[in-house]
Amino acid sequence: MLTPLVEQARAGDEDAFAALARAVADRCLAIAFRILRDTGRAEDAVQVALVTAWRELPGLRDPERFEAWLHRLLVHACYAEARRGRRHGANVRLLDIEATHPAGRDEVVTIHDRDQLERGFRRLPHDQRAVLVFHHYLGLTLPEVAERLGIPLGTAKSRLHYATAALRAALEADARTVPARERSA
Amino acid sequence: MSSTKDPGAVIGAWLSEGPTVLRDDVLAAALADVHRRRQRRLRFPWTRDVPGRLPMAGLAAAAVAVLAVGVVGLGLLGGGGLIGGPGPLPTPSQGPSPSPSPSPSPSPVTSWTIDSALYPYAIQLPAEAVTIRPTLATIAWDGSSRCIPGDPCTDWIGLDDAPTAVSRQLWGFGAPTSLDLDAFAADMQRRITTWVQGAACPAEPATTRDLELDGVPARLHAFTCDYGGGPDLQLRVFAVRDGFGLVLGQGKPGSGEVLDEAEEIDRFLASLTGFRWKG
Repeated sequence: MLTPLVEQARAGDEDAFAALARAVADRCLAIAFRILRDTGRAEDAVQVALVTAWRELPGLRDPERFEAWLHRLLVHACYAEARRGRRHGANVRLLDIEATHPAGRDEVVTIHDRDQLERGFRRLPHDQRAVLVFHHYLGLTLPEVAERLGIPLGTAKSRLHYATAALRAALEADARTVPARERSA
Repeated sequence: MSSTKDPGAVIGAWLSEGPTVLRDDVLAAALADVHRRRQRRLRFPWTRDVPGRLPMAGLAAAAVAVLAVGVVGLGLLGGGGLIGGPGPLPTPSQGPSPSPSPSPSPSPVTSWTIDSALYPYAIQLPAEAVTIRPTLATIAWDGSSRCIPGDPCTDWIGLDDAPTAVSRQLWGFGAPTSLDLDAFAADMQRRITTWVQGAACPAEPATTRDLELDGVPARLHAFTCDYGGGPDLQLRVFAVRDGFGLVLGQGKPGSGEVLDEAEEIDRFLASLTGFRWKG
């Protein structure tokens, strides 16, 4: 459905690119936020990705691959944003998880799960985060994730393995600490 | 977490939380930036959307052709040397660090001088360059430990022709050395391969080029690392002057595509035309 717009934009049509950007921007923001865990940085990464896409669009051979191609640009923009984040590390804010997700909101993810996942996720390298997001959030298979990120399948598998193990450990650590909190309460 | 829950389901449910809509003003800012930029026209249409490396024969031919143009062009720019011709440097000013969002039109800084506080060099950047979040090194490199862009041992600057994206970054650092240029360049290339965890960088550069940096012999290395998201073209210029080894680098995060090496070398060296040794 986007292909005609991609072809027009590739030929230099700014209006077509604007329509294209509107069609894909929300999904890009969702992905970037989930990798970076920071709305401002995610917005920056989306901007960079869109601008890069515009500049580099003449190099895209297959218009049907536009969104996959854009997602790879976006992930690179997230990596770059993360590197800048490390350098300008003062811009780190912790979410008030309990305030934004009241207890009993759902049965799948508890407040403690969120807390531990947030902490565990922030400790993950961004390339592992990207694999997690593409697999668990976008629902892509591992071969699709590997293709989307431009990495070997084995690399995608190992990144998913390590990331999942780290988050599982974070969640299990939470499970071990909850009774202690309850005892001390 | 309850031990009966599937971690994958918990992770998936947690990831489903969070914003899913890009603010209109952010999109407007991006589109305003698009309006200010030209698309990069393909110099070699057959390079379009190449998933891996270019065919070596084609790449070599293209590189030779573009390098030849670049050498001539830079020779003209440099007034005799490939790099050089330092003019009077303006007084460094601490410009703003415009954030890409949400404002669509932060005031661009149209010129900048990296006047290193710890290392004996300065670079006056081309007038059309716009800097983003420039930072000077605060800790002198010790000559052996890891020093990469993002570390406080580097002077760092983001460059582009518009204010809302860091499409490439320049950095510099150095330390006293007893090595000559050949040994220093080789030593630094070896270090680079081990400095970035998880990145696959080659032990040898794909391309080398001899040049002059403000009258001092220097060597350019071009090589491609994989930081996990695809090929990432890296450029370095090494120089040794009076027992001090200097490293200047350019990276271009966010492209996700195979870059035209010759074109990137041209851009990098053009950025160094205002290089000047100090002291």
